[in-house]
Amino acid sequence: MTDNEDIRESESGENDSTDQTAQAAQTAQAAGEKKYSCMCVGNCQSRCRLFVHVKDGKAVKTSMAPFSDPRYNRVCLRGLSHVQRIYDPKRLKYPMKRVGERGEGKFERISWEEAIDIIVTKFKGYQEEFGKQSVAFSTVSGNMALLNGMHSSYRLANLMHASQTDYSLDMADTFGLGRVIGSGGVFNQSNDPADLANAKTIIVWAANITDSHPHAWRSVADAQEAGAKVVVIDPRFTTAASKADQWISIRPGSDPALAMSMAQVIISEKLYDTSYMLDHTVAPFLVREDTKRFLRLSDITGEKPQKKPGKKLKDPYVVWDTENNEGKVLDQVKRPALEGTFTVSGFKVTTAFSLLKEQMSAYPPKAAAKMCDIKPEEIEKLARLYATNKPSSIYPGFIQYNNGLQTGHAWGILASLTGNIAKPGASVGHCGLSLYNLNVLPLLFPKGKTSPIIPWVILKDVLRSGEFHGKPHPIKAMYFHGSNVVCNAANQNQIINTILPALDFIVVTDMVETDTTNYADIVLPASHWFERLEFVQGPDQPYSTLSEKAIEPAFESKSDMDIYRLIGKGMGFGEFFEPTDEDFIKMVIDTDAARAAGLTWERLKKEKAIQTLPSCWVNWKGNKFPSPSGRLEFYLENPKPRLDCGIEIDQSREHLPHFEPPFEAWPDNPLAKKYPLVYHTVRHRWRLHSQWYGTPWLRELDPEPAVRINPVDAKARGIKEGDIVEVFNDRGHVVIKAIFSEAQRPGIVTVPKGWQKEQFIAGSYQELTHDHVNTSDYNQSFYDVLCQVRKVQDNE
Amino acid sequence: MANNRYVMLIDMKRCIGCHTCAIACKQGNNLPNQIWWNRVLTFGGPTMDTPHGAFPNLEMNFLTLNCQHCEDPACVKACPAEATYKREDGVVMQDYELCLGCRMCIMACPYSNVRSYNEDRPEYYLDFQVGDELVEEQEKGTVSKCTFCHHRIDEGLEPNCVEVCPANARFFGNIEDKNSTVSQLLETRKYTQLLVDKGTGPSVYYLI
Repeated sequence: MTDNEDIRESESGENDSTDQTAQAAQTAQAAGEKKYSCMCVGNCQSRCRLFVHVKDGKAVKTSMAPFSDPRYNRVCLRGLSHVQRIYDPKRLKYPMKRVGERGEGKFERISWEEAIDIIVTKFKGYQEEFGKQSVAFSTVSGNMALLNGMHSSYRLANLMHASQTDYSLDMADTFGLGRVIGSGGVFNQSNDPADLANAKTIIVWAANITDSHPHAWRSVADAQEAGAKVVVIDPRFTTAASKADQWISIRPGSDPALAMSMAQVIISEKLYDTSYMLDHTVAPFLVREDTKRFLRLSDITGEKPQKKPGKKLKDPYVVWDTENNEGKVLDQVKRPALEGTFTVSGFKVTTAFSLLKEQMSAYPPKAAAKMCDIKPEEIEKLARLYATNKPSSIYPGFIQYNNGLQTGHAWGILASLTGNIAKPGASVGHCGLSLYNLNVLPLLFPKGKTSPIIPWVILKDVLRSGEFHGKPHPIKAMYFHGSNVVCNAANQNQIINTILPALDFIVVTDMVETDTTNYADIVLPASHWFERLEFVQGPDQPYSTLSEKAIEPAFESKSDMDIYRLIGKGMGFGEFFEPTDEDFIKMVIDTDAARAAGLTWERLKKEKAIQTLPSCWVNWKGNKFPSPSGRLEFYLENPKPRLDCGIEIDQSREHLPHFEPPFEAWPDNPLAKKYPLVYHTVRHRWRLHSQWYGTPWLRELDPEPAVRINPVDAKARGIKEGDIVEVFNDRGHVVIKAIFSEAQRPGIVTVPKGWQKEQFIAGSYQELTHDHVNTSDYNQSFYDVLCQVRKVQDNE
Repeated sequence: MANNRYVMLIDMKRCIGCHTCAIACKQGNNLPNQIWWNRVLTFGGPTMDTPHGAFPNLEMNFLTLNCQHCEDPACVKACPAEATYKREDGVVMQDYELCLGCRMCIMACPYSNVRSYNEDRPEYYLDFQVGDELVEEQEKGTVSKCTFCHHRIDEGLEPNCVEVCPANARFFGNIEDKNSTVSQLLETRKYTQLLVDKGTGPSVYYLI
């Protein structure tokens, strides 16, 4: 893309302080300035490599630093605003203890010694009186690096046998698809996003990709220039929709109906890939009518398979042999039946594909189009495009409704039917790979896994009842890190009025003041990402990287790991925190797989970024899936909830997906009479969740929150452009300026995510969202919300 | 330099209006508060990121706007102090030392808001200079504008806004070199320029 590529390369000299040549080169470019190789580790998954330019001990600029493959060079407006984030006016400077009421924001400066002493004394006291589990650590995605990121609390929490909260975010569809693949509720599902450039069809499904993943969008644009068809499915006319070959604006929350109807079209028009299904999916497996499980050899022989020590239990699957018309063990059958109902050894069985076909038959385009509020032909065309203009990729956003699980499951079905997975240009799901050749277990669990994991969404019940898994489980203290939970978790008023008051003691570690630090008893100042050494791997680029410590921690801040070191020592686990950051990194990369990929400490220290996966790598290569059968299990014989909380689920409803309306945001809901508008809290490029909320340069461009409303909905409520309005429901409200936008599908209003309470005229965007618990996926349904909007009168 | 004539190309098909270019400019050139040399306009509805039309028949594009570094710049003609001048390579510059602050250049320029006037002493959020070290400090009572990051291009680097574009929508180079990326793109792609009828010969091309 550049005329000056060679020059740029020469600019990228490394910063090893012993390297005189590199230093001399820098001097020529800018006297007195040094550049460090650092990583931007926000939860956007791009993981941009940046140079941090340092002069007189201060970071004066961040710039894009090159990777060895220039296709991965990347930065965005947030990455270029770090200087203001490091020296943010709201930066926490020193440890503080609360002196006013919680939420009042009145604190008093204390020393680190006093802060750690208070924390350790409290934690020890609760653990002695109420049990080890009475202290809980809650870390989420505020930092995605290895040492100080979302896993950094694991070491101390597990040594302490303390509770930990599970993320319970917006990843229901991730789990739905992950069940099919066998990868569970975590990321690491897709190919390298750069591989999108190899697709012929790309469906951007509910993703605000240009704002939240602009570097993935770059590959979509490349594909489009090369002739690929790009379809955007989104109720809202996003920037991506404006660039797409086709935009399909569906009714909010109707995603599973659309996906299943596409599957129905592919099946009824026989557009599926039969050999792919027979070889790589459970399509030919026989499902017992009585148990709904796959028929296995032991069902026929009556002999329970013996588990050999150290080996996986082997009980071969049985399929229908079309050559001999009998049920036989899978690897003995050349031509298994794709469809049909049979009787094998007295068991009535049906192929998984036939069950799928029957289940999907409830969603012909005519019926689904009504749910989605689109034309049936749009579904037919989309299904044909996806199934025939291959390779096809689905680039998903987060289906933040109570039926996200079904949507993800249905995506898995689409990939299973067409083989649009595990190939160049054919990908489905969230996020590339990270932690793929490392050994993180000794870092996270030095003495084994001991922490009970409580999903955030049921924490309120655990606090209320004092029980988890039917057993006493009092929690008295919580430690929050990388998690501005008051701002980012659903149902803010419930958090403020019910969850936090139920805790005797709250510690919050952050870089800046947030909605959450306001409710802390002790606030600890964390250092910025460039003020500590870090290791970062993937996921949306193929590099393993060392992020240098470019500057000293500002004020009295400390790295999260150093804070855990202090608390750990106080709690009696000092020996486990003696290794330095460098020692920890060396320990984690000490694997044969890492060495085979060329990842060693020596190289890392010298080169900073080592390519440890091929460019445009393909996930699930060779169609090797981590499911029990090793195949895509679009039929789930034994669906289980994402987490075992001792709560049973109705398995009969989850073998295959069905259309479940959203919990709240659906026209049939009687509540829609009172609250007729769907309420979306959308992710814009101006923040990453709540990070960068106060960054002055970004606030010049995006100075205040506003609700976007279609003029039709606004005029019906007597609202004029620029009016101050109240957006409200039974749970809460937010008072905010109104902006007219035709991009809004009538019936939906959107409010940008991540603003702090003090930035609204009144209330907060997060007061309106609900924390309904889906006991299969344990996520939050941020988009599954109804509201009403009214003009605030001048005299109010 | 005599053989160089620098131009900037912006691919409107690829531009996603993300403002990364605007921030890169703001940081790299240590621009004072509220001053933006490179702005991103929504080509659609009245507000940023809103489309033109009525749901669902909509259109939206983005137009990034900086100094167009005209071949025959109206600003240079209008400047009574020779503070505004054109380099041999086509870069239109502003000399803060010579600038009288008369704003004749702003009035003469056919484009809106590509030149900024520092009515008061420039203010910054931080108490130290950020961005590129070689950037001159702005002064009260002077006009400033995009310099194509002259301090970078003179070192063989691209302007800040071009280097960082996440969508790979910005290009910079020498139009006199027929093999340069910019020449090749102008050869193969349709393009437009802003207010060509004003006769100033802008050096910024929009690929459409």
